[in-house]
Amino acid sequence: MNNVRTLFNVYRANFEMPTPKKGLKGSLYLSFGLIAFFCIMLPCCLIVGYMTYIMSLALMVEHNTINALLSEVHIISAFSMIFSMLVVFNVLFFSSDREYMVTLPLSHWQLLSAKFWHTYMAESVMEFMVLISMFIGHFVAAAHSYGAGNALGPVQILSAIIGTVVTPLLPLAYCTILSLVLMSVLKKVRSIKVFYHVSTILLLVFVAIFLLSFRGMGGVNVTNYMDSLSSGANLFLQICNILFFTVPLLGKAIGSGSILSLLLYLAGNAAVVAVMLFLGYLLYQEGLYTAGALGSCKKKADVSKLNLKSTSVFGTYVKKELKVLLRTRAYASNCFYINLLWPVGVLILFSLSENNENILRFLDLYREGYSRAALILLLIIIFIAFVASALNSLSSTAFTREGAHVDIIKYIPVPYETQMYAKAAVALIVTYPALLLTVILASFYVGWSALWSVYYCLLALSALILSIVTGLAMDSAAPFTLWDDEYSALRGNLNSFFNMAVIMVLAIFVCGIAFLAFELTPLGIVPVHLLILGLLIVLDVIAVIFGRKIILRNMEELY
Amino acid sequence: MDNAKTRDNILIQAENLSMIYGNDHKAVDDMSFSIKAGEIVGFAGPNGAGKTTVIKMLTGILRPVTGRALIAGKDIVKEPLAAKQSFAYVADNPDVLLQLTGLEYINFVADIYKIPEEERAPRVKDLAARFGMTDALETPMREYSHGMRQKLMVIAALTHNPPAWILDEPMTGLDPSAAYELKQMMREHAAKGNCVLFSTHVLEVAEKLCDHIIIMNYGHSLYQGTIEDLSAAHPGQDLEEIFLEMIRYKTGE
Repeated sequence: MNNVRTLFNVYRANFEMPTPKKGLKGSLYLSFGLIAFFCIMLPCCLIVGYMTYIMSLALMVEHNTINALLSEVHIISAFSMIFSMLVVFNVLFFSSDREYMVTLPLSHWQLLSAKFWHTYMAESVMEFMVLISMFIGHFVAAAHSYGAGNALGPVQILSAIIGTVVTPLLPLAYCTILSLVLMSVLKKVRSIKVFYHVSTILLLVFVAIFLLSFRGMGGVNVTNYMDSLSSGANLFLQICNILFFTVPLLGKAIGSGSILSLLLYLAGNAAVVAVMLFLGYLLYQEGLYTAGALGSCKKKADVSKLNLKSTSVFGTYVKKELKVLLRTRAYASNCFYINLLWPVGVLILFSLSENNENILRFLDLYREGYSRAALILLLIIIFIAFVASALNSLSSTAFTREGAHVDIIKYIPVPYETQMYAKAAVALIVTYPALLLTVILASFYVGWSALWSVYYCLLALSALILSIVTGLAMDSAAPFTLWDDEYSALRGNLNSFFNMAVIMVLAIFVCGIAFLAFELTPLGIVPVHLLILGLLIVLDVIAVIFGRKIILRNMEELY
Repeated sequence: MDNAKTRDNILIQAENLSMIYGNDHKAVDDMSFSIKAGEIVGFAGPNGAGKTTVIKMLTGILRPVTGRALIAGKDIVKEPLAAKQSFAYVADNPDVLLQLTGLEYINFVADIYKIPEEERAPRVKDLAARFGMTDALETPMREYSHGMRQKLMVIAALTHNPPAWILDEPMTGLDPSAAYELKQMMREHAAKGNCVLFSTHVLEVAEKLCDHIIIMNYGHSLYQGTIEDLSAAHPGQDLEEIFLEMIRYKTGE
């Protein structure tokens, strides 16, 4: 077996999070796995496949076979690149096994290859499924428009299969190239903070370009978007056709069954991976040395000015949690700053759609007291409040984040209950202000009265509490503490993924109750609002009473 | 591994090694020493003296700002693969790849060093028996104690039996029998014409085991030579007193 394959196999074996296999916990984890599959993965795939089908069908009427599929594959590639940038940078240069692996008689490009292929496999599972759904959606639309015989040729099907596997390679290869170049260019600046900031700035620049590229469409609405796709004038499509230059070749292979396009697609991807490996051969060793020699500026402490003020046990625990969150790059971006997504999202949505007829009409209907508009808004707020807490993984990684030092929970003279409340408080302190800001911004744009604003703040709080208790209960049951780097604590942590699935089910359940109460009972929209708040408060009380016991028992049984 | 030895039988050589962390933190300054075949050398110094940084430069983790490190005559920066084939390294932190079982980990290291199956089997059996780890080999390392992980790191590192052993605080966490075994193995390894470099805080270990000792502080070498010469230069003092005096430890008087 060659070294790259040996290393790859070791990384794969070491990446898997150990989960309970037997007993009640084993059954629970199996159930969570099924919930995750049926409530996250499958619905996502179905939605994506259906969207591709609808968009493709619409464009095929105007004789544009492939642009709908292309735009969706580009969106997936762009998101993959945005979210993989920091992951790849961290895996290549800051994983905890770095100092161990470089002492082995492996060439640095073998190490780079193994890390790259392992990251590709570990990061792309969901992407594979989404791509398959897109291709199926496209083929169904093509069969509908042109007949199955024309749409489902062997080359088209083979291209889709190859495209599923190969498409995630390009964004990851770009991330690797950028990481290598970044480390190489900045090797003279030997401060770790500069590296963190530069990688974050690069990420923001990419996001900005991604968002700016939508400006070419004029007003942001589905009709304009489809028109620009149909005419080929979509700026995002044009930029991505250059950036992800192999995707149009895949589109051609799938659309027209061109073997030459398929071969060129494969050659293009192989060329980028070859360039990446060549750059790795030239730059990776240097980058590893640079990573090893990084340090922050050492300041001599002045004992007379040291802050040695005492704090309460609860306060100091909360402070410790917050400092770890903010000072660990992976946690800061994925658990802390990600909460800005909601208020910023509301701001962007309402700013960009100032002249959007559909949204303006919806707001008018809401202001005129149209009940169904109020119901839609209620469902959106419930959904955001639930998902916000699951998305930032604060509660579902509360114990995982302790890592190899999880024993600290056991040996410090602090009651488990205090520690549990401190962890819950951190999740609340970090998440709730962002939700409050979201509600305030929404109330500004929608024109809620003060009473309704207070209602939505309470609603968000109730949903958040439920979500936090669920996350803490799940993570305390089987925390994943053997991660190699902080990104693995978040990415490799099944608790986060399962928690998201459970929260989605809860959100769908509460939204479903609201919808059914409105549609099937004579209750008006105001009583439905009150019913939902009441329901959430009752669920909170139940969750806090039982969740508290479960979490404390889990903490006692920890290791 | 005779072909790995140099003309003067020097297996580990540090030539004017310096290291700077960040922009200005000089962790090691102009460090030079050499270790010949058959020698056991102890590396002593207080916390933060620069011992681990020197070891990291010798093993290719860090590139020296100045100077060079040679293992069996091969420059670790210029010929990294050849140099790395010639040493076994045990890091001070044994928490690596904990999801693997002990055996999977040993096999991984053996694969990387390309040890044939017929050689690795008897060697692993022997090493596992000597460290009392045979029963634990198929258990995931995450379930090991710190000492067991340390033993496994030593077993894996020694499985490929290279001429130079570089061990960073190898005794930490080992039980007395395992520490004894390791010391015995270090002696046996050196007696076969190989060399051992290890860092330690336990001066008694250095006193009993080492042919030479290197004492460093603030990144500088304070003493290099035999324990006997050191004792002779400081009559009436034991090794601990000499060491504390050299690193200018304030005893509080």
